[in-house]
Amino acid sequence: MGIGIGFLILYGICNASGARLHQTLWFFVGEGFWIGYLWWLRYHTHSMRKILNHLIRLAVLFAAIGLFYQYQCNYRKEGTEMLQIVVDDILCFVAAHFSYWVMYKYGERFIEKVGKISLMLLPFALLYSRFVSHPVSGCYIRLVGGFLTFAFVLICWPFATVALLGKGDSRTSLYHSFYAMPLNQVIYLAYMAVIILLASINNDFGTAMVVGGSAMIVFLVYGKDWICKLGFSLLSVGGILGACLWSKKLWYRFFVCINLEACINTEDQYLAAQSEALVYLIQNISFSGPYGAGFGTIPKSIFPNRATDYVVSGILYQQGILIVLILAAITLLFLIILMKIEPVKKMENRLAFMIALIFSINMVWVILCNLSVLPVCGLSFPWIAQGTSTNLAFSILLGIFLAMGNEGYRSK
Amino acid sequence: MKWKKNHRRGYSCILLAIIMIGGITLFFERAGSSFGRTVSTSLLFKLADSYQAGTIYDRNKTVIGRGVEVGKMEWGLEADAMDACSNLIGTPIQTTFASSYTVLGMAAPNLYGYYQNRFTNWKDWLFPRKRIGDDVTLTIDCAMQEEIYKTIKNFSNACVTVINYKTGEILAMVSVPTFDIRDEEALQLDENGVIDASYNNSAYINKNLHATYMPGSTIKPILLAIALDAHPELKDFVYICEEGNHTFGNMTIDCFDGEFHRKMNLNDGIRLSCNGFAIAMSLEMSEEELEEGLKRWELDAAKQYENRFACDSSSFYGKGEHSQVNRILGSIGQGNCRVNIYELSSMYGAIFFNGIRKDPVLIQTENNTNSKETIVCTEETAKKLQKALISVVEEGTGASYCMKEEGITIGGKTGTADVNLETGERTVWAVAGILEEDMPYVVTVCLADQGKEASGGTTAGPVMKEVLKKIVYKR
Repeated sequence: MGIGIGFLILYGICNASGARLHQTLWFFVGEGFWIGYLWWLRYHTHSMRKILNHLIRLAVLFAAIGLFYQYQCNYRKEGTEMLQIVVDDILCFVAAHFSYWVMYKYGERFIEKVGKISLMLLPFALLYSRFVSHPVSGCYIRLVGGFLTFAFVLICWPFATVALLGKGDSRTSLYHSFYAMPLNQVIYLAYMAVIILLASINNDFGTAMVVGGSAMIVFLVYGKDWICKLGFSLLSVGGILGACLWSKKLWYRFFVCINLEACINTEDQYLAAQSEALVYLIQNISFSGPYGAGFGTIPKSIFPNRATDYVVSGILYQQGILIVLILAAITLLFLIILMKIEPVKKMENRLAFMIALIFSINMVWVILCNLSVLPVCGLSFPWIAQGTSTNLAFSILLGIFLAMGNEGYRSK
Repeated sequence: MKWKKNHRRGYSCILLAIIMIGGITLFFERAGSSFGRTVSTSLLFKLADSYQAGTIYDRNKTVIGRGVEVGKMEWGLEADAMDACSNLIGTPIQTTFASSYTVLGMAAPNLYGYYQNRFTNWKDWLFPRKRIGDDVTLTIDCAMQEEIYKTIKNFSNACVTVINYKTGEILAMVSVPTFDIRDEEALQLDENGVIDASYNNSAYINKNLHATYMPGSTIKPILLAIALDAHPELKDFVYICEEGNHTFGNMTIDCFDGEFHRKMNLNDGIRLSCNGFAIAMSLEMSEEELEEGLKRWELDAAKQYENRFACDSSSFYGKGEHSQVNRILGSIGQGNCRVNIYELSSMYGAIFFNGIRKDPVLIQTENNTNSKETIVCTEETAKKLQKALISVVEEGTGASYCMKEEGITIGGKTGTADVNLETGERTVWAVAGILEEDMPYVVTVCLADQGKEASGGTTAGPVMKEVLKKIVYKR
C-alpha cells in the first residue's frame, strides 16, 4: 500500500504542469504523512487483530486517494487549499486515535452517556439549524470554524439507536415478532420518524437517507421473523416516501432517477435542472473513457461541487472508469470487512453494526449517485470528499469501531 | 480470538454487494442508451468546456472552421468569405446562450459530441478516442455567400437569402453589417458576457433568421393565395382601380405613387402591385377563412422546426387587434404586418413548388435528406400565382431583374414598406424564384433603412439582378 501511495505522489508531481510550489509541497507532506503512518502501523500494532489492521490500511488508502484527488482540484490555485486539507487529514488521524483511546478507556459508560446525550440533542440540533441557519440543501451550524449538523448526526445516530434498541439485553432485544413490539422499539420508530421529518423540513436529504436507510437495514437484518423484517422495512420505506410527499424537491430527485428521459423535456424547471445534472453524469463516461481525461483536467464549470458531492464523477472524468471500478471494489471490500467484524464484547454488537451501516450508506450512495443511479443528497464519501467535520465524524466512528473490535479491549 | 461467522451480517454484505453491482450495471445500461434529443443550454456549455469542436464544412466540403483545442476554433476562409459567414456561424455559444439562430448554437450538440456514444465498439474501451465533437456539413455554398456579400456589403442594413424550394436547403444567408469572427477580443459583450445584439446595426445577428420587417407588397401573393383557396371563383375577380374606388371601410388606400391602374384582373393586380386589387380581393374572404389561411401559411403561428433550427415568427396582425383596419393594412404589408426574411422566402418557395412548403435544412444530417413538407395551397392556386409572378418580372415592377434574354425564367415580386411616414424611412424588397429544373431557388433581397425615394423595383431590383447573375453564371 505504501508503494501505491508512492505511485500516487509520483504520478501527481509528474503530471501537474503549472502547479503552484506550495500546493505541491503540502501534497507531498500529506502523502508522506500517510506513508509514515503505514510504516508506524507495521511496527506498533502487533496486538491488534489482523483484520483491523487491514481496515486501517484501507482507510489510509482512502485518505491518500482523497488527498490525490483534492490536489488535482487545487494544484494551480494561489490559496492554501492543500495546507487546509493536510491539516484536516492530520486532525482526522488525531480524532481517530482519541476516540479509540476514549472508547478503550471508558467503554460501556461512554456508550451510555453519549447515547443519552444524542437522544436529547439530535432533534434540537436539527430544529436549531432550521431556525438559525439557511437550509439550502442541508443544515449548517457553524461552530468553532465549522461543525455541520450532518456530522453531528453521523456520530450520534448509532449511539441513539443503541440507547433505544438496547445493546443486547433481552428486555430491549430486537428479536421480537411484529405484533408484540416492546415499548422501546415503538419509541425508536417514532424517534426515527421525527428525525426524518425534521431532516426533510430542513431539505437535508442526506440526514433522512442515513437515518432511514440504517434503520431499515437494522430491522431487515435483525428482525426475528420475516413479518418483522418486512414490516419494519416497509415502515422505513414508508418513512422515506412520506418525506418525499412532504418535500416536493426530494420526490423530484427520486423521480428524475427513475424517469430520466421524460424529465429532460419537462417544463418544470427544477425537474429539468435535476435531469440535466444526471444526464451530464451519465455522459461523463463519454468524456473520459476507460483511462480518463488526464490529471487535473476537470473544469470547474462542469462539476461545481467537484470536491464534495461529485468526487466520484471527478475521478471518473480524470482517471477513467477502470479506476472507479477499482475504487468501487476497494469500497466493497472495506464495507464487507466492517460488516463482518464483530466487537469483542457482544453487547456492543449493535453499535458496531450501526457504525458499519453509516459507512456503507454514505459510500454506496455517493458512488451510485455519481453514476446517476440515485439522487444527489449531500452525503459524503469518507476521507475522499472534502469536508472537515464529516471526515472527523467518520474518523471518530472508525476509532470507536476499532476499539470495540480489538482483542485487548475490555469494556468497563 | 477467531472471527466468528454471522449469517445475519452476511446478509447485509450480500445486500450491499447487490446494490453496488446492480447500480453499476444500471449505469452502464443507461450510458449506452440514447436519451432524448432536447439539450439544455448549460449542458451544451459544459460539453463545450470539455470537447474540442468538430469541423464545419460548407456543402462543397470547404472548411469554414474547425476546433483546434477545447474552447478555441480556427477559421478556414479568406477575409470576405469569412465576413460573409460570420453572423450566420455566430459568436461562441457562451455569448449567445447557445442560441439556435446561429450555426454554432444549432449545431452545438453535434459539434460538442452530445450525440456521441463512445462505447459501441470494444476497441473504444482499450483505445479511447480523443474528445472531439462531430463534424457538421452545412447546406450553405460559401462561394455564393461570398459573392452575395460583395454585392451588398456597402449597404448599412441588408439581407439576402437563397433557398432551394424543392429540398428546403438554405444555400446562402447573408446579413450586413457583419463582424470579424476571428477577433474574439473585439466582441462587444454586456455585463453577463452575452453579445450586445444591437451593436453596429445588429452585426452579430443574422437578420435573415433573427429579425422581422414590414413586407410591403411582397405579402400580397400570399394573401391572394389564401383568398383563391378559400374561393376558387376569385380567379376571375376583377377590380376597377380608379379614383373614388379606393375606400375600404373607413380608410382610403391609394396605390403606389398615387397611380390608378384601371381594370385589374389577378395577373394585372399582382404585376402592377395594385393595392386596391389586393385589398378588395382579400376582403372577399370571411375573417375565419383568413385566419385559417394565415395559420396554414404559418403567419401568426410560432412554428417549431426540427434539428434546433430557429427563426423569428412572421405575423400578419402582429400585436394589433384583428380589426378591419389592421386587416386592410396587413393586406398590403403595412401596419403591424411583419415577416421574417427566411420565412418569406419559404412561402414563395411553396408558391413555386406548386403549393408544397419544405421545412428548412441548414445542417445536413442523415434524417433531413428529405425534409418535412406541408401543403399550404392547392397546385392550381400555386400555378396561377406562378404565372402572375412571372409577369411581374417580365413586364411589371420586377423588370429590373428579368433574365428572359439569358433564357432563365424568373417569377417574383417587389415590395416597398413605409416604415416611418414622418422620416420617410422605407424597407424595400425583391423576391425572385428561378423556375429552372437545375436551379429551383428562391432569392430574397431585403434592404432596410432606405430613404423615401427608394422602392422595391428601383432599389432592391438592381441588387437582385446582380445576385441572380452571380448565382446563374456560377453554375
